[in-house]
Amino acid sequence: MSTSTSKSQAHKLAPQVKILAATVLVFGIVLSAPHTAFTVASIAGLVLLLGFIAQASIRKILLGSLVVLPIAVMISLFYPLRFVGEWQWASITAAYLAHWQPMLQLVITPWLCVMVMMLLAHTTTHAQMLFGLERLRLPRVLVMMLSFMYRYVDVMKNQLQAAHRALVSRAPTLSRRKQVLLYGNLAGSMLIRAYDRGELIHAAMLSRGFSGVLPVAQAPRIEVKDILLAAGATLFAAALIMMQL
Amino acid sequence: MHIPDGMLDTKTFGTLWAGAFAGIGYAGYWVRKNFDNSKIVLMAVMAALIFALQMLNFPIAGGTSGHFTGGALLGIMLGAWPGAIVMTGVLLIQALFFGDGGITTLAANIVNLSFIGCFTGALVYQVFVRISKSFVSKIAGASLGAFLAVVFSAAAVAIQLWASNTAEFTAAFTAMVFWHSIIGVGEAVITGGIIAYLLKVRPQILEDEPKERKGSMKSVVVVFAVAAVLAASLSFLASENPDGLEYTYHDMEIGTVEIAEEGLFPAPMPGYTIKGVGNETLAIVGAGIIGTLITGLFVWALALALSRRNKGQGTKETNAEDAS
Repeated sequence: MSTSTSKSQAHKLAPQVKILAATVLVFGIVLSAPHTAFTVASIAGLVLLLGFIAQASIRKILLGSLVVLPIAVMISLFYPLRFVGEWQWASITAAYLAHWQPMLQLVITPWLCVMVMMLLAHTTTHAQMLFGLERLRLPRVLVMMLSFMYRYVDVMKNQLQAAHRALVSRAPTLSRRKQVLLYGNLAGSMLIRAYDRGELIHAAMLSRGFSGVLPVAQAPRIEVKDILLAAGATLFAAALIMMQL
Repeated sequence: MHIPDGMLDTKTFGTLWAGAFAGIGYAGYWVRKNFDNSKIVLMAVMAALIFALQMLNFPIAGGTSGHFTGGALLGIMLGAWPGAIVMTGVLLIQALFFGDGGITTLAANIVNLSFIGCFTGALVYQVFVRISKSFVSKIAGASLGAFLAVVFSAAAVAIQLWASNTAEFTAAFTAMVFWHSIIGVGEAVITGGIIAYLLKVRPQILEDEPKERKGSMKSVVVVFAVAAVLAASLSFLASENPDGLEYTYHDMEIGTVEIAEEGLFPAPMPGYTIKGVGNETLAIVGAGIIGTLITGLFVWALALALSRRNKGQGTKETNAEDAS
């Protein structure tokens, strides 16, 4: 997982407020369903401006937001089919031509939402994110699990990639059936390693005095700038919805 | 299969949020009650592994690929409730850090992948294990459970998109179910392969059954209740138009129309309503609930009968071995 390491003012904001502000913005975008060029440009402009102020990589935010496009485009293709009377090429084409705007909206809305989430991800470290989620009263079991997961996901990924490399280099010309069997064995052995690792990690943590609660880094206090961020996000989301009404 | 933001309308994602809140709340309670910290560490490591395994893409047709989801595997290995928590953690990380799956639609993704995925995998596997504890039965249960988990989740996505007026039902349902049936085969092969490997190399991992499996009657009742509520909600959506077979029957003018309309035997709940109930809404909702419960009880009774028969055979075999 990528880690945000920059230390701009945006990184020092209280993470729970940032998560909340991003969520409010996403809800605002979804509920307003932006369909005019002005609204879309204002949202995208705001996100990129905030990214610039936060010294986050605009390129990474834009590239990261593109991840949603394939699924959004695929789902949007189903939309005009609701309006097809008879299943003939002419009526299908007519339905697509008549409803290209809602289709476009179905692609733009998730894209803008992902841009907001990318901005959050690139201005918040993982530890801050977990702290924020805990402050937002996410079940403790889930926060604890996410903390461990964050610690071990890279280890698992590296092990899997190493095993995959070994498999490809040592058995490049195997039949599909044997390859499937090998991948099954690979995943199975990874699972057993994960099981054993889980026990070892817990034993190690107990020896260090773990009592079921994870220590967190110094908790950032909610300051005026945090309140301003929350208020700004709420006002912007409310304005978007009002413009729609 | 992750639904992005903007694809579901307010009523749909609102309803799903209510369901997901209740489900995750209960799952958290279940895990705290039944699992100690060591098991939670194990859940986390499993979450990390599932996250990594989701990178394993396998080729499908036309240059596209699918990837392992792992819901059924989690349900089988950890139990349905802990599995749902682990999958929810994975979905949360994907939504917050990678924009994979939306925020407003997070609940939909939790319902589809965490609950439908883990519960389908776990329940199908349990039914097969109750029928027979043989190696083949366990592999078959794990594979079928994984396949159905993917297909049911895909069907749920199509239903949610249709309920939100985002997609035409037939096209979305057919495309989602068809495509995910192919992906489901890959999921079934990987899940079956992993379970086979575990049964050969470290069978005690699967024998260390979570408490939920021992007293699974409660989970069956919960599933029945959820299915009945869903049936009650969805019964309003039952189309008054003829289905494909009825339409073909009328269109081709096959046989006697009266028989097609009336049926050979009088149906207890014709047209998905209950005879004698004046209130139409009540009649439709009641028919939905009763139909679901009857179907569920029938399947449950069948599985139980097969399981007892199998146990009987197992006892006879054991006695024969003892005698020899």
